[in-house]
Amino acid sequence: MEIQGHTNQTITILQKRKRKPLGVGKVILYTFMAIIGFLQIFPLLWLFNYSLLKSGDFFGDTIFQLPSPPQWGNYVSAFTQGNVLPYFFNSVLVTFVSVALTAFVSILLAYAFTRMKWRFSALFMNIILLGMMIPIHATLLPNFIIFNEIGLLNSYWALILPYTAFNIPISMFIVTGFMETIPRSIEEAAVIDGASIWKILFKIIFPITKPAIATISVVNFINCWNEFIMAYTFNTMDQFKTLPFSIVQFVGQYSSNYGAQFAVMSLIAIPSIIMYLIFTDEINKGLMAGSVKG
Amino acid sequence: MKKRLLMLVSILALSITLAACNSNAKGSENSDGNGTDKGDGSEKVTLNFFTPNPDRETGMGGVEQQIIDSYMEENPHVTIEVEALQDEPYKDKIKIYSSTDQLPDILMTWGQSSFIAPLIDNGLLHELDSAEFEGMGFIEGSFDGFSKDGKLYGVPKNTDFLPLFINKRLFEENGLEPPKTEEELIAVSKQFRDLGINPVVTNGMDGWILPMWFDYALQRETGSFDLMDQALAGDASYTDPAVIDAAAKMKGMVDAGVFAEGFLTADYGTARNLFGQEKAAMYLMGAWEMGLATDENFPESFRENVGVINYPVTDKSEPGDLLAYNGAGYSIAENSEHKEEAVKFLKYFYSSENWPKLVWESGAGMPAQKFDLTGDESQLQKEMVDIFNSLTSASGTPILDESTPEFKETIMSLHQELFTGELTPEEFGEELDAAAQKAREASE
Repeated sequence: MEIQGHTNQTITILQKRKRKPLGVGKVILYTFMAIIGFLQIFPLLWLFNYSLLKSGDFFGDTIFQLPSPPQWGNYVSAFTQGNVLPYFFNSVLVTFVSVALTAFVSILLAYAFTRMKWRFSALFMNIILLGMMIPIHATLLPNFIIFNEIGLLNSYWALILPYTAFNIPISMFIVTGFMETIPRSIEEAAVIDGASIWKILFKIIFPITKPAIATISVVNFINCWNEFIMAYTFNTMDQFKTLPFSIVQFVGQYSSNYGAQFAVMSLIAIPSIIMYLIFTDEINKGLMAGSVKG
Repeated sequence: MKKRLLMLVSILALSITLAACNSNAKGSENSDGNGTDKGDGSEKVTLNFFTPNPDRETGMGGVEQQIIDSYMEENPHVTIEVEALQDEPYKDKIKIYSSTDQLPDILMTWGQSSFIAPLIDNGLLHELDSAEFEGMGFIEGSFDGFSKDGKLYGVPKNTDFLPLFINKRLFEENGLEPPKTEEELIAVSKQFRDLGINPVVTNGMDGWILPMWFDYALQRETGSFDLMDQALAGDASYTDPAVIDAAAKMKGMVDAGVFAEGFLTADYGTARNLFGQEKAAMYLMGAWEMGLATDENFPESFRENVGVINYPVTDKSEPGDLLAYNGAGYSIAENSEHKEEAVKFLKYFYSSENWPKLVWESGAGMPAQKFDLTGDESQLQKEMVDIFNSLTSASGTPILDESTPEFKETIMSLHQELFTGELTPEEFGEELDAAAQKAREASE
């Protein structure tokens, strides 16, 4: 404790010393960072700005237009014509079940491939990784036929199953890479203490793997949240539609109600941003862990 | 052992919750599905209606929905379930539906070979009795695109033609006259350029407008729309000097700056908004844009001054030689269980107080049937009627939609390559001929 307190002190002292003379280097660095930060946040501001414009104001000369007056009606139509609320509920349900299922299966798979010795382990891992190569479009028709046969069209499962299947290969790959970095001696100690495999997996491996899980969960969340091709292929009924359908509600045969579409997009973006903010620290850890492993 | 048991229990619990989710979803599906499958006994009928107009409150989609709603009110035993996707996803899903024999009862079709021919050839569309739709004032020849070997497979809903929209204020304020000939169009475009105003805008990026313009360019060169079709059928060639001349003329017009800067990268919304924001003097687009005059998204000075003229002519052609066709319509699927009910609905849909009247009033387009003027038309709509009444000859289906889907892709990209200078007019003709050859072989 004493040592820790001491180091903390030195660090604060160091920071204080450094903060006083604001060198040219620092100024350049901060301006650079500010520009990068602005560029990162700009698309969001832009999205929000456009969601308050009239459709006729789009594609003008200026990139940023002050809405006069702001068309809050766009948001009203997002909720009425765009059905944002029920679709939001469907999106949440489908996305969270898919993400949880993917994470669960990925942990099991990754553990089986990194820790267990079995004959076809390498073969099966490669088969699963092959899944990354399959383009979505190639699966639409076969999946449609299968779902049709077993009566899964127009259900939440018609989305959850393919979403999970598509996300598993890359998720498993990331988790595998992460698990390989965990020292085996931790598990050995647990075994000596009498832990079963399941206990090792959920009491020891899972907490350590959390950064990797957070990473794949956020990536999978965004994938599922924005997915549209499978959604419109497998679901036709209003009660199962997900959020991207809200945008489509404003498409006319030739031109569209762009303002309302941007309002819907602003609403859709909010959960993604929140998810990212919550998990951003874990993601950084997870990404770094992956990068070290290569 | 205890731990293993605990584990098993937890896995069981998880799978039960998932299974519960499953049965919920399935349960609700079944309760809805009943109407379609087992509803015959109680005379309840559910018709699935598939359309590429997802906006169900304005425009064409709004009119569709309005008629559907009133039909359901008058016929309580019929429920019509609408599925709507925008253009490209719509075509994708039609492919999926047709390869699994699951086409919805009523679907929107385009009476053009590139779309409807595969559906007809595979026996997926129900043959309609044209006598059922007699006396509804359909324009002569409007059934042609939906017919094959004398059998009718769809009913047209729109008459589309390509005029040139103009902003009268920009013309008047700069002392310019709307162009009547192609030379005048080039001259007036140069003057607009000098004034810093975009001359003609159009959606070059989408690709389909360019071959439609080519139909005009060639017609103005030869005096008839026939050469285009003959060359596609193999009775003539796209290497014909007239085609090369027309291609060179189009390239010349592009180089002379008739079109706004960057028109090849402008999509539909961009082009429409440039015109609506009074930043362009002319807009090459189909008659369905007559709603521009009432679109509240654009300033009033635009709405009051938007006008429309015939596409400029040469001394070989009349202003009334229009690129006109009956594009979209509705068909009934062969696998439908309720064909009679579907036909009944279509008859209701097309009756004179419904589709023709309502779509005209909404300004979303011109019906394929005769309709009465209400007297409340916008100036733009009146001018549009005048143009259509000036018709001396019609092109029929635009060339790009008269063959296979591949031919459509090719002819669109060939135009873009011609205008960016990747192809000379001669090469353009040769490539086009090769594409037509290939399309003929494919359809044989």
